[in-house]
Amino acid sequence: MVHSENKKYWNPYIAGIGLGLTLLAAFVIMGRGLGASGGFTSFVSFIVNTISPSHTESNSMYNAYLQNSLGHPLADWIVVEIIGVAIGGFLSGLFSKRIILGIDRGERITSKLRLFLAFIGGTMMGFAAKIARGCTSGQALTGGALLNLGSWIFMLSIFAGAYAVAYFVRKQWI
Amino acid sequence: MIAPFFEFDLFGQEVSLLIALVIGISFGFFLEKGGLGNSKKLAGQFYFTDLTVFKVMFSAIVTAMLGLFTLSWIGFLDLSLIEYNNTYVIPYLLAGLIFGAGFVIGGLCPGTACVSSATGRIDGMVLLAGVFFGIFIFGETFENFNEFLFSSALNKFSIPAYLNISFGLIVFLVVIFALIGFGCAQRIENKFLIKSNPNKKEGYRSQSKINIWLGSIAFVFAFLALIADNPYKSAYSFDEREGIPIEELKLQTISTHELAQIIRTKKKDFAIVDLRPNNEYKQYHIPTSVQLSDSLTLIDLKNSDNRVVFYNQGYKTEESLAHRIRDELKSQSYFLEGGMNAWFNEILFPNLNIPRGLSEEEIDKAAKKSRYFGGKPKFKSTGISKGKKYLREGC
Repeated sequence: MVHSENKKYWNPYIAGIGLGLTLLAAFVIMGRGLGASGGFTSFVSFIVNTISPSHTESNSMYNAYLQNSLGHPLADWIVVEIIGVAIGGFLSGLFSKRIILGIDRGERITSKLRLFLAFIGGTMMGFAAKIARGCTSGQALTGGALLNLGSWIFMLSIFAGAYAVAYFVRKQWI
Repeated sequence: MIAPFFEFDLFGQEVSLLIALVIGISFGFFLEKGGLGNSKKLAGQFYFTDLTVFKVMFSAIVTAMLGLFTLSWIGFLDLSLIEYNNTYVIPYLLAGLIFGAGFVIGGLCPGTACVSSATGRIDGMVLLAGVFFGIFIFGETFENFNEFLFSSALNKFSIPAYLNISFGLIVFLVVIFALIGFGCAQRIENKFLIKSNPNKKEGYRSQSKINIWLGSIAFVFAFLALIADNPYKSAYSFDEREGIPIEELKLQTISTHELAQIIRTKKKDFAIVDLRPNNEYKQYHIPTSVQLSDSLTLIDLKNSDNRVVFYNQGYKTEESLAHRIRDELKSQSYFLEGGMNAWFNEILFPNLNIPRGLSEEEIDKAAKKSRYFGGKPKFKSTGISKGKKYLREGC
């Protein structure tokens, strides 16, 4: 188990404003917001296409993510941005001495079960993000700031879904 | 207006990738600093033990929203060039519920899982593998429920367009909601903290002063947005001439769209009179409009029994003339709302990118109307997703 709570995080509002200014910069410079699941979809499409090009041919989702004005599915704005997210997270963790190989979990759950649930949760989110055309970054955060109606429906529904299920997985966290 | 820079071709595709990297690094950096790379902290949101998710997320939304509004209002950024997505109510509600359940089960969302993985957390890496798998499953199966993905479309893109109230008011309400939420979050956390660790209280007190400052700044910007009302700049607003606002005369008014309809249907019992100086009339005037002169006086218009539409540059018109129009032609005279400025902004060069909630047919109609009068509609066709083919997400 990782005891990273001891190392001080920033005032959440300051971190939030930094995040908000980053998002604003993306709007001002690129005319678009931030994202995550879109970049992962490019990865998935690229992998599937590499393994079986004939399989992706007739699939409109893979196709949409394989076409790119720079010629390579991974030479894409969101893909590069999400690589940046990993670098930025790593650098911040490095400065704050929070790079720790381990598993974040509550005290009442085994590592194995925690990882199994992480995989299940990830699968659910990956699938749901595709239905909603975006995840917490692309829809909730970006669309939230734009007052995009669908994004707010999605965001409020996320909170509803999470609070509804929280009780059943409480042993994992508290 | 010079922003968004990319839309104004200030740099090319290759440079945009470099920018993506820098913006991504900044995104990841602040996520980690805020503690959002830690699944225990994130999950705390759903047990009311740690409300960092709400605080970071809403302070980010408020910051970006107020920034967008302000930059657009001062004319630096063209907000209408930023894409909005359509609203598919049932799919989004369902997706939110699944996503939210996955969030509390997994403890991270896709973006934060990336940060968690980068700082060495195995649960983050496994969760990312799950996200990949979920996307793969969707890719393999979505063609069976493709119709559902596009069901219950509202064709209203933004909250102000849907509720039909001002953009500024919604911005103000969101900020108020967030500030009240922050206050509640602090109280809930303090309660929990004091229960679990009474010594920690002091550290949180020292933070509260700066938080109150930040909240006040947000409130001021939100209040300005409330007054400013509309962040979209009108492309044309030439100087108003000295004069009296038409509304003070309590005369009948007519909208630019009604006037356009009258001209297009070639109604005979209407005369349109341009009240601007002659040189401006010669440069451009609304088709079929005439000017007052010795051979066409107000008396002539009165005797013709036609209805008369008057227009000036904006909302104002010279006082003595306005009074004469009212006295001579009271019941048969109309003033064009917003004058020539409105004619330019609404008929000749309408900005169809603004998410007003127009349907595709309405957008089409507006574009046709603009071209009919020799104007040019502003419409970025790549915007709003069309058809039922699965398109890339905007973000």
